[in-house]
Amino acid sequence: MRILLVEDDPMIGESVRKGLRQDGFVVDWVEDGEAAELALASHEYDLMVLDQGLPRKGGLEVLKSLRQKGSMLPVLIATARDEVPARVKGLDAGADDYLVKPFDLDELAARIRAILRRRAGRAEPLLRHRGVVFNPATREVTLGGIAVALTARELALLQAFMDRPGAVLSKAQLEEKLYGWGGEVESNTVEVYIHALRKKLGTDFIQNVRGVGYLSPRTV
Amino acid sequence: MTSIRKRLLLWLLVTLGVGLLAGGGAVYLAAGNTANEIADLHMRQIAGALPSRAFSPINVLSREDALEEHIVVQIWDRAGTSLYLSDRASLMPPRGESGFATVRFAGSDWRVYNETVGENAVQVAQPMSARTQMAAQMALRSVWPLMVMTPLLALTILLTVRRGLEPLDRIAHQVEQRSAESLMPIATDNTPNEVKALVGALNRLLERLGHAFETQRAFVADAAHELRTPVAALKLQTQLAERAGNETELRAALQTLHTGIDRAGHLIQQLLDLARQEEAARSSERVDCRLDDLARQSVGERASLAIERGIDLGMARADPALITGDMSGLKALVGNLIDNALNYTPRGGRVDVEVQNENGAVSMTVADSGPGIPIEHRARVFDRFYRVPGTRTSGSGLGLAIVHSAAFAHGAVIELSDRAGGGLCATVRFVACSPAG
Repeated sequence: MRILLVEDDPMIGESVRKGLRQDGFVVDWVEDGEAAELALASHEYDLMVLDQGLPRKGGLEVLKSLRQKGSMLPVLIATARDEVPARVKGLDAGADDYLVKPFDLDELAARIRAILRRRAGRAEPLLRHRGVVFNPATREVTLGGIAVALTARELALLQAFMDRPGAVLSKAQLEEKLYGWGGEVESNTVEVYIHALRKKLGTDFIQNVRGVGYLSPRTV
Repeated sequence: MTSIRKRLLLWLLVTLGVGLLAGGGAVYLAAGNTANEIADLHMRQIAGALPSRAFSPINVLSREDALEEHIVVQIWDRAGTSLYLSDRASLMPPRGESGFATVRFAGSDWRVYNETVGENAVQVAQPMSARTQMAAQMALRSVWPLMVMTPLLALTILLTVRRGLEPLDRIAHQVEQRSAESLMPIATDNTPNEVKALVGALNRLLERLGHAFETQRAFVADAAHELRTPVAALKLQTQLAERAGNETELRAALQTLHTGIDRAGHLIQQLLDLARQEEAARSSERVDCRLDDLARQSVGERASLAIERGIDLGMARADPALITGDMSGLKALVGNLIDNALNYTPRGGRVDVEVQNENGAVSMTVADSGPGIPIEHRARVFDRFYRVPGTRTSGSGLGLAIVHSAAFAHGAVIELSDRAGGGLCATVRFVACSPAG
């Protein structure tokens, strides 16, 4: 899961970035509204954590122009403004959730997972697909009830497949999921991790669609 | 006596009493004169009506019915033999010169009138006490309606005073009923003009108070909002410390936590400084102070920090400059200007402090080699919590507000300008701070 964090306070930004990373998210951190729009234009994100009081371009302005462009990107506003009108304004501008500073890192991560779950149309917090159960909160994976140990990069790819079972994901889309976990993403990196996942979860868990990408088939 | 009602009543009643006495006295004196004139005329008429030819002496032994108003009549013949005495019981003054005279006889004053009527000499006499009594009676008759009026007047005064002061009671009641938060103006309808002036002054005070409260409320709201950010950072940093897997991670997390606490502490200190500045602006004693010494001291206190940050901090000029001001305010002014320059100057940069004294025109300049402040933001940088957008340094946003507040309290003017070769140049002109002036 790749998250865009827009926060102008260096201490808060650094801490949230670290914390979310520990929770298994890939975090890109920018400090102002203009940088946020630049990042949104050049990368695909699963969610944006947005501070309301930003230099250069305010959080609400970024959000409004994002929604005007028709983007469905889930947005969580994290701000020091706790008055009801401010919250109403934020939610009405197109935010999915609202968190008031000071907030708890665990709560932030839980709210992010909840938004992502709702977006995927699931009520169940656990992802289940082809005998594999993935718990996004604890980052634990079981296959037929037996725990499977996966690396951060493997988990990032697995979650992409389990979020949209049956959908074909391009190599570029999968590469996006791998950014931010350290190390270069080389031309064959995706193949390396697909291979590893197949080895741990069964060869037919991920299948190749020649010239298009990869998918995890809906039925067994 | 502080009660207007009591004072009014006292003075009105005293004046009334004095007036009454004076009036009575004047009437008494006037009545005395009139009584004298009338009685003199009366005595002359009596004398004129007495027999003019000689007659044999009449011996009146005693008369019960003494002549009206104690008038006593005596008649003598040419030889001086007493022919008649109206009241033998009373001792009579002896015969005197013709005409009116006031004589003292047998312990009392008498008014006597002597005339020669034909063959006889006559004397008509009256004791003065009778006249005085008559005057007193006349005076009393004129004054008694006034005496009857007095209690009535007193009552009227009492009621009028009470009625006149009613609006004050009403306003007092109205103010009494208010809650501490209510700063609505006091209604002035149906208020007499004299009270209207007071209510108007009160309402203007309430308005000023309202503005002051509003400023204070806004400041507290801003301060709470600004405190939230460092507290949020502290909470996140604490959680990261809790999550640390090993000692190295824990140490690093605790280090950032320390920085966060320092930052929150700095913000709180700045808030206190600002609050103190605004308080000191109203009430603080002024002392003579050498600005150059103060600047040197402030630079000295920050020297090691500047060295740590690789910034060349120093005094470029220090003219002896004596100014008058509040010591802690001046310290905050100089210190925050230098701190601000240090915060925005990159490693390898330079901060120059100058104190100039051009024939008594004292100014201080702090010049840095930082990024400067774009012209469009210069007017706002002195606002509380305002930060130039895009600045990386996480200051409290209060330093320049403190400088501004302290400068304002000293009647000093701050100018921001570009420094030749890049950077900001902040000049404070102490226009109203010459000592003994």
